[in-house]
Amino acid sequence: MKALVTGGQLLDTLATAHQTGLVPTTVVGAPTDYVSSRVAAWRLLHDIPYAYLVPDDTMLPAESIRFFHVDPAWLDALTEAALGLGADPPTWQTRAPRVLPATRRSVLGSMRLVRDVRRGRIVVGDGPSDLPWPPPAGPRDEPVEDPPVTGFLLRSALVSRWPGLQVRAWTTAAVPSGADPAEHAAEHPERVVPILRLERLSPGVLIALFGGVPRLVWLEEPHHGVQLGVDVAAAVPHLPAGSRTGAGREIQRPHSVAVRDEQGRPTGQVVSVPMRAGARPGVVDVQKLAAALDAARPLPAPRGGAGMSLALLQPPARQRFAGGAR
Amino acid sequence: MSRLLVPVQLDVLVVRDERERWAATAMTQPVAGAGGPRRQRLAPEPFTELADGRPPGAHLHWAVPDALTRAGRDAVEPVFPVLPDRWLVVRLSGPATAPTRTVRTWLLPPGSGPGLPGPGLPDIELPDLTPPLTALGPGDPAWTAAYDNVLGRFALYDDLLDVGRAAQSIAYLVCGWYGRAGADPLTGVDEARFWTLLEEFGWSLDRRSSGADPVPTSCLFHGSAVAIGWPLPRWPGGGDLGAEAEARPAPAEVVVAVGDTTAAAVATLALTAEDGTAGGRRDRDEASGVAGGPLVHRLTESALLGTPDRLDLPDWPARLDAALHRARFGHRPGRPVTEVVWQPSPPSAPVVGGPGPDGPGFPGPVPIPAPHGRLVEVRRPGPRTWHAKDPVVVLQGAGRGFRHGGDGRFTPTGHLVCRTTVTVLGVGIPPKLGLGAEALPDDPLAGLPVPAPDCANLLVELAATDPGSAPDLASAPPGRPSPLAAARARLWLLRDPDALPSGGLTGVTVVGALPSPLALTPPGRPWAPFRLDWSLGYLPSPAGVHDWRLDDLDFVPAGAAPAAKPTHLLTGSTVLTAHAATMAEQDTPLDLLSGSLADLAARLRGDPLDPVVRERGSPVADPPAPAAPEDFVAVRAGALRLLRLRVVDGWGRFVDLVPGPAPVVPSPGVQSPGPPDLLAFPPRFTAPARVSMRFTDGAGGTAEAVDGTTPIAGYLLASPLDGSVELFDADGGGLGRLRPDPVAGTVWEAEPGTAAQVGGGPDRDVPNTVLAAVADRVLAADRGLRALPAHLRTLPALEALRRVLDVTRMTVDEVGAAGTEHLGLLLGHPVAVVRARLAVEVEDPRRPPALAVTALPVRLGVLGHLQDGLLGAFVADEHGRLLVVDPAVADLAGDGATLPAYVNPSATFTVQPGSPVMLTLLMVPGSRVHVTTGLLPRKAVALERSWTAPALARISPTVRRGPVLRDPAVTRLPVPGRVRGSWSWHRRADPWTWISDEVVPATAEALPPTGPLEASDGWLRLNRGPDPDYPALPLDVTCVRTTLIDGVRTVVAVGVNNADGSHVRVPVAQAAGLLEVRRLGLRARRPSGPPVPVRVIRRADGSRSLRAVQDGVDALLALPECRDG
Repeated sequence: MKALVTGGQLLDTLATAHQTGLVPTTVVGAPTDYVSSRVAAWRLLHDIPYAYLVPDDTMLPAESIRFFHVDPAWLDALTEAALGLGADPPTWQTRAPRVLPATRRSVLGSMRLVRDVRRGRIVVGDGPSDLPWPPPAGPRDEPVEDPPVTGFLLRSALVSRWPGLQVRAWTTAAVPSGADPAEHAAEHPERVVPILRLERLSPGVLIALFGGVPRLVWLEEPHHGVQLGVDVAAAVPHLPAGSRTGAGREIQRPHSVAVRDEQGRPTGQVVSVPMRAGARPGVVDVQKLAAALDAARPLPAPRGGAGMSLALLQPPARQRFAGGAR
Repeated sequence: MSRLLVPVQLDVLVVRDERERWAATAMTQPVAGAGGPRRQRLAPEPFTELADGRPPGAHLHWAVPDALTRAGRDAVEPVFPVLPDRWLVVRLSGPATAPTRTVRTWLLPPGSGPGLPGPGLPDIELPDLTPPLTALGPGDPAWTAAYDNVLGRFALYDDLLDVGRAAQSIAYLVCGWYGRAGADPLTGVDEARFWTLLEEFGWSLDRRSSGADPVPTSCLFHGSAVAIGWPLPRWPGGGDLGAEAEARPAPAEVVVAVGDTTAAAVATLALTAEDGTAGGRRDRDEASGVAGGPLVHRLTESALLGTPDRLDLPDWPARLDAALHRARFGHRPGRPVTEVVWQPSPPSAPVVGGPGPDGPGFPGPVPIPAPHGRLVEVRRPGPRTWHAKDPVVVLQGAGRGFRHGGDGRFTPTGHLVCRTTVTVLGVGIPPKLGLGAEALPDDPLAGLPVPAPDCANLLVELAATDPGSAPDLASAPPGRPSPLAAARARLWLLRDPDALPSGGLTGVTVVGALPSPLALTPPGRPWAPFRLDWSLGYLPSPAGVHDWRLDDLDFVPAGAAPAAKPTHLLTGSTVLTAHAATMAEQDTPLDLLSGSLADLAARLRGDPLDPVVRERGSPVADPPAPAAPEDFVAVRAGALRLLRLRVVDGWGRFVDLVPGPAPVVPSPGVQSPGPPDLLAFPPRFTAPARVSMRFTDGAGGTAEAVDGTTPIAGYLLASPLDGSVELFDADGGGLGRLRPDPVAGTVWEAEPGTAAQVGGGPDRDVPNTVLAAVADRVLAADRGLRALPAHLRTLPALEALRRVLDVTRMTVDEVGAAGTEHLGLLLGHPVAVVRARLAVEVEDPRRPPALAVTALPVRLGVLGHLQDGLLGAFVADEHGRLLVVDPAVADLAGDGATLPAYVNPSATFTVQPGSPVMLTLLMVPGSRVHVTTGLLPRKAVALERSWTAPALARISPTVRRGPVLRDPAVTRLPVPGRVRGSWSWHRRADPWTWISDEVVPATAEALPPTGPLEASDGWLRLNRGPDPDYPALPLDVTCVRTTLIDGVRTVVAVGVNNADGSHVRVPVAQAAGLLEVRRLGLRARRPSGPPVPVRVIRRADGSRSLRAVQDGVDALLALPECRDG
């Protein structure tokens, strides 16, 4: 009595299947949402030890920002190793070329969702299907081009002092500097580079990853509350804040306030900010400042508290990082 | 007094030709010898014929009802119902118009009643059967099937000399009842029991005949045969009605299928019929390998067996093969063994609480903690022994008779329709009623001691249904029957509903309730085949089993052709049954008869086959067996040649099929590659045998791995990263690794972090000698390999080992049985090194010396079984030769390179019966291993989960990695966070110094390094945390059983009181096992003071003993001796 299928026939079939990648479709099918979500998180450098991002402290000194591209080859290696965990090594070696494209397609679709999952806005597997950055269509085993992922690491007091620091990225540097970001994004959605990750790695270090290559990045103060303040006078533009004299005293830089008309429009005039004599450094003599403003641009009535507030009202600060023309 | 009228089939064979040949069928009367049991041949020799033939006349033979031939179901031993022992036979002869027919009666058995009218019975000497009479007769289930056996009881010879030679019609009636008081199955039954009994017997009651009759209190069996012509089949007024159709088939109409099982032979017949040829289809398919031939045959065979294996499983082909191969063997249970096991208490019924503090539904059912359980003594059957089933012959078209087993064939429900008192008074055509009484003399049975009035009524029924008794025979047109005779003959159509016209019996008047067609037999030449005489020639392979090759499942011919002339002529008789037909038929009865070529093994061995005859009541004992003949065969192998085949029926009529024109179709399993008239006879033991595969102590001993002993010697973990193979002990602790080395070939590297010794081998670091030998032999095989010239160089043994493991693992479902919760299975693929002992045990009372030195091939593991996790094996402690599971593994593992001699690609090794072989198996944890011998069914043994689970929970590969970025101040590496335990980073500061750093899990948090990071090579190792320790259940030892060993009183068993008060005695080995798995905590009770915990002491020889020492005194020995019982 001969066996219906001999061991040799069985091994031949298995070996052939592995060599040709003709493994059952259930094996090649897209990974589960959880696996996709995990791998997508790793592709966004989540759970990657900081030392592997910044091996040397001098590569990211204080008050510095470093822009970078993410090399997908490294992330592919990470993905392959993660998915191959527990698999039979030779089997995995032959199956990986077949499995990875399908996995990558699913993972790329999940990358936009990682941020929302992490923020608790959605749960894994519950994401929207009409993503603005969808995975490419095509046959399941067709190679998928990775969309470029870029980002920056910011190590600055900004991160700790402005926890709500906002980041915007645009595909062009031609965005007007005073533009309202929400309005501009609504008018030019094609200019928006989506943010895939924005996270404080430590109180002073921020990582941001974009789904594309921005030409312009804004760092903005949080858009909340009413900020009143004065401007640093443009006369000494190169004197950094906190500069001190040879005796150790901080150099008080001259400050100024722009003069506005009754409509709130800047008139182009500037008055120096008077400081109180005999007080601690940096205390504004408000009364003198109001008088100076009234003198520079008289209003129907002298500036009271409301007028002064309007005069000192300041929009959120915005730092632009613009790249050169492509 | 109401009687149940039960139809029986009466067949009458009229012998007119004295030259006809007849087979002998009479069974010899057993005669017990004075000197105790003796063997006596009771059945006639096959192919013997009656020297004097059979005399002319009518030979009547009636079948006892099927219900009375079936043994009781509930009885321990088969108990057959008692048969009716009084029969009245009535013959009607002579013309029906003279003015009545001549009636002659016989009362059976002879001498059982007062004198009968007319001539006496022929001179028959009835065998003396001890009452009560059953279907077994003197001890043969087919006893009643042979006419000569039951002559005078269920058969009668009527020489017809008294009826003269004038052409006439003859009819017979048989009427039977119980003469013994209380023997009637209806004696004393109430109405409820009556209906139950009717259902048990497969009988039903004709409602037309029952009416308001009370429950019958006795049975009356009746049958009739009508319109028999004498001396010619034609009789006046009957036209062609007396023509006797021959039921015996011509030899050319019969197809003979020979198979290794009945199902195989039937499948062959079924597929052959589809093909339209008598043979060759399977030959063609097997030879060409076309899918569908063997596959369809096996699926058909499996379906016929009624046990199709799980065809939805991926490895169904291997399962199907194994199941069908196993179907070729019979088995007997082994001697039962006793052991003590822990039986947990069943969980108590949950208590449904009322509304909780949070309202209804809270907290819901709360299970009550169950009491512990108890120790119980259980008996389980010992391992079975297997014997090869004999080949089976299935005959198609051999004229299967329904005399036996076909009582219910005339109703859709399969019941035999009985009546109570109403019988047929007349059958005629309007306006003639055709009353039977008109053809009979007045009161023909007057004075006979027969049940009245039923026998007389049945005689009227005979005269009313017999065309030969029709009163209008004189009016018959030339060559045609008379109208009334023709009308009565239409009743015969009731036997074949398909032939019945749509109008049924329209135009025929029946006065009364017709009996079942079974009770009315038209004329014919009956054929009731019941026996197959066969003669075979055994042509052994010249070198016996060595001329065959063990394939994946069974032996296939590989060597010299079988001998040209048979060495053994095997002749026997087999009872033909409808087993094959019942296996295959759905609605329509199939003309299939089957019988096995029985006792081939015993005939080859020269074992006595005749039954043992002993005095009733004497002790059961076999007479001494004769000495083995010179041509004794212990292991058969070769071919069979079918020399003669003869089908014999109850009267002794026969058909010779072989030699003859009947085509013989062998099933694939018995097809021989040689001449077409040969049947393959693959190697099998002629005595019962078994494969004994036992896991043994993993430490290297030969003791069976039971009672807490583990067969695991350790684990291997191959790393695809650096080509190394890491070794772990049985508990999952790391020991070291074999690593490829560019200079030395393969080197041994002790576990990172432990002090290494230059030149030290595995034997220094691996305490388990088996595991050390496995590693050491790999080193030895690769020693000096690099120094060889390139053309002599082979793959390193280490690489070959890894490849063999990897290739074989492709066919294994690794987590199907072991589960997926173990980290070891995810981080690597641990291979358990398992010890086992294999033996082929033949229970041959003759103990042939040649058998003990016969080397039988054995294969371990099956690639086709997903659960078979054997990846390789070392046989007989030769750890330098890795046996692969299948030769194809070696081919694929080699992948063009030359495999070293370390790999044994044959996949086969030899075992001598009775000589155990120690095995070291490389297995996937939680899997099983199959043993294929071909001589016996494939056997599987599985690793217990408890043997591997703790180690799998602990095993974690020590992963060599590098370089990794490491902070000089703190080793911060990404490691899994949900693993219980700690991680270490082992690195070498210099070639001699190990440095082990505790790994701090790295996080994504931006912790600036304390200084420049360094690239570090090293080994990452997980130190698993201890498993939670659950408290053992305490049980008190109240007594001990001791014996003196070397003069020392030693405890051999302890008596334990269960929590429920029951007492059980546990042998020391089993108690030690229970203690070692920490399930139980035994305590020796003392007269005063708290009980003393019992501990297991392991001796140097591996045996274990129990001690409960307190203050220097063994509290166990202070306990009283356990009483017997």
